[in-house]
Amino acid sequence: MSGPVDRLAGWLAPEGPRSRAVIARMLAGAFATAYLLVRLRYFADGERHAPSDFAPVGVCAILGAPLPAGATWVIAVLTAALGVAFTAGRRIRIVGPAFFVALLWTLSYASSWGKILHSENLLVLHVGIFALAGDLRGARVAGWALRAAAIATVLTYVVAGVTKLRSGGGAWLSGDALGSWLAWDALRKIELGSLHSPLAARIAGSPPLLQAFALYTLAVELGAPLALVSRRSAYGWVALAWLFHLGIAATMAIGFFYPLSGVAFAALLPVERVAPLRRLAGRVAPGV
Amino acid sequence: MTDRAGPPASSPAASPRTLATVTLVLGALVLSPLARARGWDSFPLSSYPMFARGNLGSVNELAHALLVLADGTRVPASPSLVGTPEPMVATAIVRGHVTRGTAADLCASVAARARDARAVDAMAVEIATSTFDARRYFSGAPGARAPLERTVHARCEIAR
Repeated sequence: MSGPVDRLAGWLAPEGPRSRAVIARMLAGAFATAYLLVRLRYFADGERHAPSDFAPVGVCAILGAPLPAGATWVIAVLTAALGVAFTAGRRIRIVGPAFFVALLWTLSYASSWGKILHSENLLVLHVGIFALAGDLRGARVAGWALRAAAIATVLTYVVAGVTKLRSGGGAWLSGDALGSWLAWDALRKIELGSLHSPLAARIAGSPPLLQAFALYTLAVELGAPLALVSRRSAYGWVALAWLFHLGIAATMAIGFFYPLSGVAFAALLPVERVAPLRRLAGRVAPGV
Repeated sequence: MTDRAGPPASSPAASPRTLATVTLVLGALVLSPLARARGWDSFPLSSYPMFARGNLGSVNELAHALLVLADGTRVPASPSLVGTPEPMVATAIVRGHVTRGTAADLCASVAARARDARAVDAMAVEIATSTFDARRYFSGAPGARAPLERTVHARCEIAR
């Protein structure tokens, strides 16, 4: 490798530790499966909705009408079963793509009732990357999967940050937009009979705090590419991003459980140094 | 980087250039919502438009379902009564019915769930859009939480 194209290819698909890739895949699979099982009725019971509420998104746009109730239960249960097999690394080159397609379908269908839940986007992207990576044999494929997952993570934050500047601009930099959203989000949750954070109204009334939180938000989102520069910058950004989600949970009662669990950042962290995880990885992938 | 030596590669077409191309395509896909109109949203690709608008202001309208108690006071119908555990999905469902002119249908289904749940001593259900001032709402002043304006699109009694 000598030319710039080869150097770029080497950076985008470096050699990497298979154990870390297997653990990152296992964690993403375990999170997705647990998420499906905990919310099984939410994903499976399409009968709760009126057919007229159906507003298909993503891959579900091919549907002209909601699926029969029995079909949504079968698909959700099958997706969870595939998730168990994916997590355990069973027949991964077949199960991986099958689980990705099933998960993409199930989560897209659940978001096809007028409101998209953005906390699930990155999870699907990560499962898709590990599904593409097959059995992760070879340092090159393992390193590629980790780098691709890290890039997907970073870019989703960048997109969110750029969108705030595009749509909010100066109002986001000053904290005004954040203040309006904090107050409105708490208000509507109260009026919708849902859980809300009592901190929201207090922070919304403090312009200096609002501006500090708004700038912190933009720094985490737009500064995400720094996580790709070095190991130390990755650790630093992961810590800041995790605190960002903790702050969202505390002030808006919105749980982005995938990043809050830490699993979303596994590709950026030396998870293979955690002995129990390494032992588990050894069981699901021979040679780790 | 401790265990690079593993079993021989078995993934097909695993040259660095091929893998790098896949990453570039993936990155372009994740970034592609930025090339679309503001507010564009889908799944799993999104521009993440939630909470991005800068001109939200303090006065906004909310579509919601209300339970009318025996003394005439109104309390929120929980999202589960609207048919979902998610509050934002609940308001989207209510808004959709109001827009389509089918608020009475939704009202009937919320009333049926309220009757089955027996959670509160509610007499009726209202499907409404209410305008609130968020700044006033949290001021702590008497009556601050009352809506500035409320339009009831449908009302139905809860059969007992």
